[in-house]
Formats: sequence, C-alpha cells, structure tokens
Amino acid sequence: METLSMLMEGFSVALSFQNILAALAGGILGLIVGAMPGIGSLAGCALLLPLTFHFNPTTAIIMLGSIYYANMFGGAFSAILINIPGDAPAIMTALDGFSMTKKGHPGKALFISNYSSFVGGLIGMVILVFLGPALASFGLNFGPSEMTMLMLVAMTSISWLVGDNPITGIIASCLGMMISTLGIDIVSGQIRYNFGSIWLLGGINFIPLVIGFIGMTQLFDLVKQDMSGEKLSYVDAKIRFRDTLLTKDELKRATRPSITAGLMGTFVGFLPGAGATAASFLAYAAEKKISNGKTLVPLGEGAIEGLAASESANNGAAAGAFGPLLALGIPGSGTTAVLLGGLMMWGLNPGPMLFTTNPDFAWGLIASLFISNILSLAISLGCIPWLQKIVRVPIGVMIPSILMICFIGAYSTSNSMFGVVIMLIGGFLGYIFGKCSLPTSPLLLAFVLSSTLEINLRRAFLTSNGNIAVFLKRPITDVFLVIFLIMVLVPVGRAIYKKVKENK
Amino acid sequence: MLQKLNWRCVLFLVTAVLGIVWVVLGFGTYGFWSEAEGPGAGFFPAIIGCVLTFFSIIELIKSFSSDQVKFDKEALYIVGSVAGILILNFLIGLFPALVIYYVVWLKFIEKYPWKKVILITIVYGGIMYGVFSLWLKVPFPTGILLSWL
Amino acid sequence: MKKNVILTVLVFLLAATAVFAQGGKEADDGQFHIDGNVDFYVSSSSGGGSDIITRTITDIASKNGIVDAPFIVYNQPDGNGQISRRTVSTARNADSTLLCFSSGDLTAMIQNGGLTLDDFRPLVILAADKHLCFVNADGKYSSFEEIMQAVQNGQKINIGGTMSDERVVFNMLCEELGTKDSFTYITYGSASESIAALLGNHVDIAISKPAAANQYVVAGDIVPVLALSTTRFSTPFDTAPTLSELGYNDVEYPMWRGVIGAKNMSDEAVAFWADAFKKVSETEDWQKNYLERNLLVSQYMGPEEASAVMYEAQAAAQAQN
Repeated sequence: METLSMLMEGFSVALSFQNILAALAGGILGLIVGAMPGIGSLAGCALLLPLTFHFNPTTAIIMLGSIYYANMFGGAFSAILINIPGDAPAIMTALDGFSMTKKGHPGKALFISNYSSFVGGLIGMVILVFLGPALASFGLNFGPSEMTMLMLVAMTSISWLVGDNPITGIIASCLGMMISTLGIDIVSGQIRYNFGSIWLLGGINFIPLVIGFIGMTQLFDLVKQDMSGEKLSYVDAKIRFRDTLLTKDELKRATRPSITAGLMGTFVGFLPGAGATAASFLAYAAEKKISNGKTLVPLGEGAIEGLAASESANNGAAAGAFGPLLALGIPGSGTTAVLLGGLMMWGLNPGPMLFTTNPDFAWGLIASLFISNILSLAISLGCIPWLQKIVRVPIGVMIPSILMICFIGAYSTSNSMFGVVIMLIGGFLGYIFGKCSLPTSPLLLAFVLSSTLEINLRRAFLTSNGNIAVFLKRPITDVFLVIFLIMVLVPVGRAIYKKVKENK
Repeated sequence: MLQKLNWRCVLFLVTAVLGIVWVVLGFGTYGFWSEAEGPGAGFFPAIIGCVLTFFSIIELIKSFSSDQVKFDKEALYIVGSVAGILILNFLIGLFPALVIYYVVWLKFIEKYPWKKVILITIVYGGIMYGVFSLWLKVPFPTGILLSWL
Repeated sequence: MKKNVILTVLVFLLAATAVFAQGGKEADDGQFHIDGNVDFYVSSSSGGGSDIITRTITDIASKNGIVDAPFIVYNQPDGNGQISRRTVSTARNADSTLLCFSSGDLTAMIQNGGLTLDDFRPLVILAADKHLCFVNADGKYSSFEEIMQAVQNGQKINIGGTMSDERVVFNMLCEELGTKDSFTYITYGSASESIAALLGNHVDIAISKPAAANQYVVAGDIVPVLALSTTRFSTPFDTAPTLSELGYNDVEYPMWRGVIGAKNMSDEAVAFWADAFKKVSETEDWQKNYLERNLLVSQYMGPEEASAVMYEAQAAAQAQN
C-alpha cells in the first residue's frame, strides 16, 4: 500500500506541466533518433543527453528516461521497415519484422512491435515498482566490500556479451578499465597516468567516447554501402493507419508471447551487465522452444510470436534495468550506463540511498516511465507514416548528418574540443577494433563499471586496514563470492570436461 | 610494406605495450601497496595492466596465423571529412565548418542539385543550430579568422 | 556554379561573424562599461554547486539590470577544472572574463599544480560554509569524547568525506588532535555518498557541511558531534560542541564561494565587478533563492578581504600538499 501511495506521489511529481512537456519532447526525439538507422538507444541517449543539461535534475532525468524508453520503441521501426536495426536489441526484431514487411504487412508488423513493447514495458515497470523499495532498504547493507564483490560479478558477466572469442573480450574490458584510470585518483587525490597533459587530469568523459565508438564508427560501414553504388532497396509499401489494425486472432497470438517475454526480459534486465540485447535474444530463443511448431509460419519467416517476444523482452529489460541502476547504481546495459553518467552529472548518486535521499526524484522517474510508455505508444502509432519518411533518408545524406551530430554532441558534453578529440579517437579506434574483431561493448561497459570497482576495493581495504578477510566475513559478500566462483569455475570446468571426454 | 603488415599483430602488440606501461607506472611511480593504507593509486591499474599484457601476448601469437585485416579505401572519405572539418574549425569555427562540410558532401560527393543541397542544409543545419546553439546556448568555438575581424 | 559556392561560403562567414562576435572593451568616455558579452567560466559540469551559484548570480544580475551585457556561462570541467582556470588566467578580454571559484576549486588547483592565486585577480566572496562531524544515531559512538576515548584504547576510526575541502579540514583536525595514525580518511564522491556510508555503518564519522546533512539530522538518523568552527552552529546543529569546548584549539577551513578574474583585469573592472556582485548579494532574490535554500549566511567580501581569505586558504592547502 505504501508503495502505491509513493507511486501516486511520484505521479504528482511527474505530472507537472513542465515534466510532461519534457517527457513528450524526450519521447518524440527519442523515437526519431531510435528510428535512425545505426544511431540506436545507446548513441541516441548519449547524443541527446546534452539536451537535458538546462533543466532541473528531476525534469532532466524524466526527459532522459523517456528518451531512453522511446528509443526502444523507435529502434524497431528501421529494423522492420528497411532491415537496419536501429540498435542492437532490435536485431531479433528485424528477423520477423522485416519478413512481414516483405510479405506486404509493414503496418501490422509496426503495430505488433508497438503493442508488445507497451506490454513488455508495463510488466517491467510493475515489477520495478514492487521490488524497487525492497531493493532500496536492502541496499543500505551494501558497504565497500559488498560493492566490490558485486562489481566483480558484474564484470564477469560482461563476458556473456562476448561471442566466440572470450580473450578479445577480456582485452577490450582491460582497455576500458585502463582508460578509466586516467586522471586524478579520487581515493588518494594523486595524479596518475596523465602523461604530463593537463587535459587528462580529469580523466576521460564517457559520453564523447560512446559517441565515437558507436555513432562515428558506423559511418565507415555506411560510406562503404554508399560508395558501392548499390542503393538500398526499400519496400515501397504505403502505410495507412487502417492497415495497421490487427485482427482478434493476431492480437491473441501476440499477447501470450508478449507476457512471457516481458517477464523474462525484466529479470534479465535486472541482472547487471546483461541488458536488453541479451534479453531480446534469450526471450526469442525461449519463444522458439515454447511455441515449437504451433505458429502459422516458422519463427524468422514473419511470425507474429517472434516479433512480439523480441520487442516485449527488449522493453521489459529496458524497464528492469532501472532496478539495479536506481537501487544499486549499477548500469544493466550500455544505455543505462549513459543514464548513470547523466544522473551523476546532476549530483545524484544512484545507489542504496537513492530511494531514501531523493524519493521524489526516484518515484517521479518511475512514474514518468509509465507515462512515457503510454506516450511512446501513442506517438509511435500516430507517427508511423512520418517516421517511415525519416528512415528512408538516403544513406548519402545520413553520412554527413551523423558526422555533424557526432561533432556537435561531443563538443557539447564539456564545451571544449577535447570532447571532439576523444570522440574522433573513439571513432577511428572503433573502426580498427571492428576490423580486428575486437568487441567494443565490453570496453565501454568495463569503463563504466571499473571506477566503482576500484574505489570500493580500496575503500574496503582502507576500512579494514588492509585485511583481506573483510571480503569473507560478511553474509552478502559470501553470497556474491559463491556466485562469482560459479560464474568463473563452471565454464572452465565444462571446458575441461569436454577436453577429457574428447581425449577418451 | 603497409599491405604486408598484419594489423591484428600491430593492435595486440600496442595493447601489450600499453599494459606494460600501466604496470611499470602503477608499480613504480604511483604506489602499489603501503602497509598503513593498503592498496595505493597504482594497485588497480597495475593488475589490469598485467592481465592485459598476458592476454594480448596470447592473442598476438594467435594473430600471426590469422587472416590479413583489410581496410576499405572508402574509409578515406571519413578521414578526409574529419581532417577538413578540423582545419576549417581552426580557421572559421566549428559550426560554420560543419555546415560547409555538409554542403560540400551533398554537392560534390553525392552530386545533388544545388536547390536540394541548400534546402537540406537549411533544414538540418537549422535544427542543429536552433537546438544546440540557440536553445542550449552551447558556446561553439570561433576560428582564428573571425577573431581578426 | 563557382559563384554560388563563394556566395554560400560568404553568407555563412557573415552569419557566423554576427553570431560569434564578442569581447570586452573599455569605452572612451572614461566611465567603465562592458562591451560585448561577459564570459563566465565554471570549472564543473552543469548542475554542480559552482554551476548553481553562477547561474543564480547571472540571472539576478541580468534580471535586475545590474549588468547590462549578456552573460555567457561556459561549463568546462575538463582536466579536473584546470582547463577553465588556465583559460581565465590568460584571457584576452580580461575585463569581461570571470571564473566561479570556491575553496574546493582552490584545493584542486594546488593539487594539480601549475597555477596559483598569483595568476588571478580575486574579486569577491559571496557565501561561506563550515563543516561538522556526524555519527550514526544507532552507531557505536554517541559523542566526540567517546570517540577520543576509543582512540586512546587503540581503536581505529574511519572517517568519510569528499575529496576537496573536507579532506583538508580532516588533515587539520588530525594535526590538532595528534590522531594521524588512528583516523583513516575514506574518500567519497559527494556528501550524500559519505552520509549514506554513515547510515549503513560503513564509516564511524562523516564530515559534511550542514546543508547536505540537514534532513537526516532532523529525521534523527544521524547526530552532529563536533562543530569545526570557532562558534556553535544554529539549530538543529547546536548540540555539537566546538573543539575549544572540549579542551583543544578550534579547527576550521571555511568553504567559501566567490568569483575571481583574469590576472590582467584592470582596476576599473575590478571595482565595477566588486560593486555589481555587492548589489547582487543585497537582492532579496539572492537571500531567498540561494542563501536560504542552501542554509548559508550572507558573507559578502570585497576584493581586499576576499584576497586575504583566499591567500590564507592557499597557504593551508599548500602546506598539506
């Protein structure tokens, strides 16, 4: 009951005129950016973050939340219409969505994606409301040693993001952690790794780094497509609102997968380091098992169930990721990592104390998620014909447009060319890394997580006077230690078992 | 020679060296461990450096037998664009530089007719200028030519 | 065709010139006034304490017609704030370039090295704040005497606080009490983080300014046990004794916020800005929306006074570095 009254209070914060306006503006911008091929929610949030600088913290974060949320909706548009996933979680969406478009049902595909996104998001938010406060009071027990172990577990789970070669994932993570050590060490106040440059004293800002690694890097692929002369073939289908409406049977077929995938997505979203991409992938894989043979067409060939599962899980995870972000200060994905940067810029410290120290902010944000879920649904349904035009912008125009916004976005984060330099270095490195099959997402995630890991590790040693037993004698750390050992030892054990078996 | 170079080798060689730099500085200069205070400023980076160097060497050895990395010559368009923007930024400031680049790209690379180029530039440039410069009041840098005027 | 290109370039150049033209000059009539924009630098990102005070000052100065020239606020947090400090110290339009400056910034500047107060012209100090030590209401200790007793019994005490001014005041406290080996300082990113650590019993004491701790003291979660000032604070912090009441010498490192200018700022400009900020600090807006909201008392100091306070703080910070 208390939760509901807190939520109502949150609604009263979020429903102020200014905040609704901010959520609406964030929703529209987020949809547009999310629908732009390749920009996606991570770069989209990073690019639009400077927009929120001039508001008060609550309004700014509400706007950021709705940008984030609408991005998830928008990511599906380009995936469905032109087979270019707007962001990574939309990859699974493109499989069935674009197939439906090819079969002449782009409107239905868009409607299902919107509907499932809404359902998945709603499930995620309801869970967030009822687990958020529980996590918050539990969070007070999280001292330096607990946070250290938690971060170790999170760091290890980054390896789930990495595909076939875990070694390159480790190398990328280490590079990310090393970049985070540049500048002043906040525990001792000592200057380190600045190599005599005063620009490096304050370390590297995350946002231009992301704009470079994600936003600018994709230009190299786009320019190759552009110069190869093969213009992308669009499906020349007119989208009228009437055609987007579903029959009762289609709605029914979309609902059950939306609910199961939404639940699954939310819980994956709560896991640090897993994120929306893993959620949509896992839910899609699960849906394949659940609906085995019972769909009209097989998954991957335009099945409503597959599209619904992917989109619902994606949005459930987007909401779920707010759980660890708000209650523990841990970003569940690259995008929430950007949000974390935004929160910290406002002097807000997501973590154990957020629900206690800034309850109006925390509940206002959660309430605004509900609002932006409804707003996003309304806007995207209404904007379907418009957005189709934006994603049909020729690649030749997209290239200079993206490069321009990369420069402007990177400059705006600290009002200096230093941000632009970081962005450019990130962009070129991202290209080289891609060519050498070194994954970049572990680098970005490790960059975000590692300063928390380092600071807490050293605080834990300081409070215990250098005694390593601090990590053993507390119940929560023990639990994390077991999880950590399982995560490390099980794959190793399995590999050894496999080897032994092969040798027999 | 440049064609013969295996870029995967180069990359992992660089990361291995970076790891060593981090270890040497972390262990030597910034303080690894002190009796009174536990880990110092160099503790964490030195460990990360060790791990990085170790895995970089493994990957370096593997990369000798891997395929050559081929860079696309189309990437030069991006390199050229960035260089052009940076030079123009130095002369006339960031925003005008980006607008000129935008026009040049649309006109001379995409070969759009002038009418279309100007229309697209005004719409997109207008949105960017309106949002970032007028609304958010981002103080974009001015170039050296403008400071003489 | 070519004509069009040249024309386009010219149009953009002209437009850009109109937009970007700026600079401060002294007029010929002898009366000092600002020509062009005022560049007001802030060495932290939007939303921080320095940003808030700067935006409040510029809002009030513009709204009440105290300064006619438009302010442009530059948030330049790069290089731990050192970039914006260097920019201001060498600014060309020295008379219309200002920097928001606090004792925390001063500590950071000395730590980073390369710049000292000699590179600037101190203008004014507008507000000052002091620190208190807090303990958890349900914690091991309930007064500062108990803590000193525990230290004598060989206990180690963990103290949480931020990286800048609170660290300086911690060092001064240790020196006065002679407890360097028994007190361990745990750095936190912000005051709310160190208070969160205190609430979770992860540190024994948190050093904080009153504003950040206010709601927890009112709620009875944490208790102020020591005032790091020469006099006691007002309610609800009045229960905390000063060090002299406990038989030691008082220790304080006031956290002030002010404005400084470039080294080459002319005397006329210094007088102009000192007067302008005095007027700002006398407005009701300032009292209500800045001082009261942040639990501060008005503390206007002109250039000479401000300079004396800043140099004294610099000496304290240099002594520890």
